[in-house]
Amino acid sequence: MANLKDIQQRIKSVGSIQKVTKAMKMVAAAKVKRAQERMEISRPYSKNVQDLICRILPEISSSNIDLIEKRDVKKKGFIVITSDRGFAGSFNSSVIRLTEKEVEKFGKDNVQLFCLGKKSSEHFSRRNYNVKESFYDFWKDMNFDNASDITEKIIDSFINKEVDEIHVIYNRFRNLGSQDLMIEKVLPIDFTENYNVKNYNYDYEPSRQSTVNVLLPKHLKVQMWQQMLESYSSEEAARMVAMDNATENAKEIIKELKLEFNKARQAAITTEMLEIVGGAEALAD
Amino acid sequence: MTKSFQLDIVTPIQSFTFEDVIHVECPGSEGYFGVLKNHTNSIIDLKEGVISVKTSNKTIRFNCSSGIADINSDPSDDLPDKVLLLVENVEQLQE
Repeated sequence: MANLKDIQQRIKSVGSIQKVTKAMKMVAAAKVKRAQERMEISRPYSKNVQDLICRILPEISSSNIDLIEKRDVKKKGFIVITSDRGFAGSFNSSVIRLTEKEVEKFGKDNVQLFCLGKKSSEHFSRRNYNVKESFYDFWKDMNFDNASDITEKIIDSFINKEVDEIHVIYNRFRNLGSQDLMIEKVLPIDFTENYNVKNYNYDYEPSRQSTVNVLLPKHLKVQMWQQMLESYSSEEAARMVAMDNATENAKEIIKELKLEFNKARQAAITTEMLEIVGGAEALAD
Repeated sequence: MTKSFQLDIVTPIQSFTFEDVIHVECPGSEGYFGVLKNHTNSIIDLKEGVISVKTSNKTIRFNCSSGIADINSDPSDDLPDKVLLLVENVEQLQE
């Protein structure tokens, strides 16, 4: 049996860990709430941009618009959204696993990866995947400009025909206890299902074509912003659950250690008493 | 007949709604333009500049990035009668 001092030290260190995990859980809960609010705020912009595109696109020839041009898919791009930090259960590993599966289907040489978050960037770079761009260290102070810059690089890659199709793999926030692993096509943009074919009589300035060329990147940017927020909410929710589990486990361990400590203390007292009794009997003899 | 209309300025990070706008001036890609009630239905590219919103009792000005103005005033269509400015960034100017 371990000695009393050792057990006491372990109780103390597990207690400290418990305090840290509890604090991390609370911080994560606050971050989820904030990300949810930001997601809510971005919805009207996203919806209005999409509505507008669906009103204008049916009226113009799509052959002149790069971002909706469908090509034979010889090279694919994947945007992989993970986090910079761990301690979030299977949040990162599930995205990485799905990406590996998708890359395998199409062949490692024909795929370019755009990694958001240190976890995916490090994982795929180390394994010699074709990582075209890596973006990290922005999650803490994430803003719309980050999404905008990332989207511009992705659009360049598509327009320069480095890839013929781009998909995004990320976790979508469902509720605090669960996330959905998503894979969605980003480029070429396909709105045909949502087309609003009613002929609205508009004046365009400078031209219909120019308006679409302005709107499509805006649509992609806000989509990226929302996906980043979804992923960030999921990350913090996953971290919250992981930290809650860790706090509970620490509580269990402390309970067991306290039991062990009491047993050891009891044993020490018994031994001491036996020694005293033995000593007294020896004196009496 | 009321001469005011609704104006929404929407960005990915914040939105402003004005219910009683009399006149709004926006930085169009081909120069500043003004919008009054019953303006022709138009979709106009915006460039960086200043948006001036005149309501019944005050004028509010915003710095904005590029974007799109969606002006709907035709009662024959099924779209809400309002002016919508979609921009990436907007910042209210202190008067």
